[in-house]
Amino acid sequence: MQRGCVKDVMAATAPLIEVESLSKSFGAVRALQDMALAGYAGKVHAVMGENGAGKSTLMKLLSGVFRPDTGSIRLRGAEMAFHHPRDAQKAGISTIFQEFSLLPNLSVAENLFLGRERQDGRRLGVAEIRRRTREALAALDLRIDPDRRVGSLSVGHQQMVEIAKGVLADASVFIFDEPTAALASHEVETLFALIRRLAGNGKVIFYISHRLSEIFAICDDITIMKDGRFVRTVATAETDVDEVIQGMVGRPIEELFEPRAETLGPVLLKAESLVGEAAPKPLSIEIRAGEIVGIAGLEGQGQQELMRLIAGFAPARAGALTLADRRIEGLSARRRMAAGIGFVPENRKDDGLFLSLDIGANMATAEIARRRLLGWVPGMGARIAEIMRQLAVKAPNARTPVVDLSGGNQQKVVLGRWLMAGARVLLCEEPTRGVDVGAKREIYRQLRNFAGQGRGVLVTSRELPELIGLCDRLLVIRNGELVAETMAREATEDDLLRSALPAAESEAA
Amino acid sequence: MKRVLTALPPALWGLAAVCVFAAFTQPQFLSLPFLMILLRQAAPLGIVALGQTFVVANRSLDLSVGATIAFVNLIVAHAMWNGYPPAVVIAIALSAGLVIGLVNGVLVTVLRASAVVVTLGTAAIVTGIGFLYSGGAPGNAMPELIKWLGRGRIGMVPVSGLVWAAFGVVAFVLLRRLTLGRYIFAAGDNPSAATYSGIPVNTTLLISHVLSGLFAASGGLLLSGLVGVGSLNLGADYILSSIAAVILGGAVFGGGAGGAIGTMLGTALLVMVLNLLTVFGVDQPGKLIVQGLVIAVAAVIYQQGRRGG
Repeated sequence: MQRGCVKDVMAATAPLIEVESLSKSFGAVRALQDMALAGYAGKVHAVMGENGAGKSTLMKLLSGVFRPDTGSIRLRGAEMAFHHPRDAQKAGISTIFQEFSLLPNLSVAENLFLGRERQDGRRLGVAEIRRRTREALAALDLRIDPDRRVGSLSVGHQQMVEIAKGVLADASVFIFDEPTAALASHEVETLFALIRRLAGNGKVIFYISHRLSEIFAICDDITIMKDGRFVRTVATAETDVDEVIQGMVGRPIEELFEPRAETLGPVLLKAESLVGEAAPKPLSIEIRAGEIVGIAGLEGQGQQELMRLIAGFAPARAGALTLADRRIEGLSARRRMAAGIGFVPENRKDDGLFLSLDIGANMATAEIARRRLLGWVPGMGARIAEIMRQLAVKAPNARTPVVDLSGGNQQKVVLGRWLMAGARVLLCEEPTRGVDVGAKREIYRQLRNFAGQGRGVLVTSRELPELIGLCDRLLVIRNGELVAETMAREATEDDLLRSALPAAESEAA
Repeated sequence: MKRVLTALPPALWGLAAVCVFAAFTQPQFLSLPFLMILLRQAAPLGIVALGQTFVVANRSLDLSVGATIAFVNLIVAHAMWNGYPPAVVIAIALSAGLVIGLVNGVLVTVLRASAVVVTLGTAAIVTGIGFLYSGGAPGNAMPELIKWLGRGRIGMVPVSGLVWAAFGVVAFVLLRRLTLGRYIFAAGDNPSAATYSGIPVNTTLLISHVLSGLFAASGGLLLSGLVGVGSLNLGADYILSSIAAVILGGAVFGGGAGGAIGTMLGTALLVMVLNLLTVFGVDQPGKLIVQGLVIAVAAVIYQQGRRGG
């Protein structure tokens, strides 16, 4: 029945690559069961599912990293058996993983021709390599100097080089694994243009991502997976975000969010014309007890600067900041945290977690940071266990290293840190970045609970539906200025976007 | 179970293996009197390594411990202190270590310079000052108290062993019981996350370096007492050895792990191995090679263990 579904959607031509009843187990864990997938030439095909749904396993089977237990992979009708990633590459499957396979100290040209020197029995000359590299890059409309050291390129350009490598190898199937995770927004545009170009040349593209907006922007078909199994394949034009999410989690999107606050308490945090080094325009914000306030805006409009100015990582030059009737604009970040500000940075791995320490140590840091340097640290086991239970952190105990946790559970640990420290106002950047849909729901619930205890939350997010669903009130930031305010229950993505776009005001003025 | 095993410092397994090996090949090696000699020899290194533990756990490194030891040795052996009470001489020696650590700490935190470069630089400066101070000819006037600390015994037990144990307790309390230790491990694992959690990262790193300087000076005092005279270049081999002991004790370059007990076991293992090598007739170059290998292998094994566990 499942396979019938695939055929219904695309009965027109034969698939270029087809996967049937593919299964893979790791010990007792059945990572993939009876999976089906069909890629058609010229189509961009999204593969979606929560973390652990089996997307990565499927892609690693296709790229020869793992070997399937049962089932078949057919490329142009011929059955494939990959014993090594090299086999898949030779067969024409190019995978662009999140971590690139490029050598940073070699030039772009050298990377592209690495291992290809003896193709026709003799080495390629330097001039020829450079010429063919220039051609390959030009074919993709990329302006990258073939002599540049790869390590000196931006992440976006490195990715382009990786793609160019696949093009040079004459690959017919391209697999992208969360390709935009490390890209700036303008680089995403370039990537999309490139993907469209590849599709236009008759390649099959599998696109794995959590970001629904991207998938709807670029993909023709969507295959949804859940718990290692095929759920369904749909044409993007015939579905919508709600349906896709429902397929992945098994419940509709509205149920992702908790009900909003009914009554709000007094003003907890109040910024009045606050000005900082990196935030030259005066900012005024109020957050009430029980309230979740969201900051919407295009990327890089001053969201980070605003958060860091309130948290105290950038000193205030003018204006006032009051936390529950106490002036704190003159305090250091450390003092402000002791006064009750909590900060969840956007980049969890780099700025949030202590990866070699266990859950307990990770959760206790903010609480301990308030203590005297030579004070005795009391046992906190009971308190940590209580918070882990409260946040439903999925781990055997507090001694589990945070490295072993999923993104969602890691984020809960960072939230737990501020619960434990008794923060009164939580500044939270991108609360669900790199977190799957199921864990998102859990994090929304925790943030709402946090606010429900008479505390306040300020969040920034790139995802407008998330801000609208999660928050009580929304502010729009544009070019370092708060330009609009709306109640979340009345907000629409269109209105928010209109306020966020730079053109609007210049036209008015 | 595997996690429990890999959580224990590599030095413990090494120590067990070396003891079994010694029991079969050189049984006299494990006799109590000989172990007491080893203890006396291990104590100065043990204290220096404990100091090194703070900086390594804090994602830093102190390459000036050798120069500090040499400098302390020149101070306490200098004739100018004749007639002063030994406590004053000891206080001056320890202050020297404190100042060296402070300079390291300030340069590393304020200038954000690489710890390797900074501590190598201070080492060179301290060595130079030492030469100037001693006029190139180290003295041999050493207070009896320091000699007693270095080579004296109470009953069968060497005094320096007791001093080492006391420093071990202090280091253990600082690292595992006080706020400071939590700061050190947090800042060592991820300085950025530590800052965002409100931990005073710079102060912590400064204190780690000061502690390393103080511990190095204390180890230098014991070593001076053991040697009994002033000597140029005393303690030069303690730089590598102290780092080896810390790594064997379960710390990793990059910080965030390790501890006082691990470092003490690491020191014990290192001293036993070096002495066993002597017994088997391996000379200094061979020992250096072994020490280098030990650092590399211990670091690799421990990394693997952490990844796999």
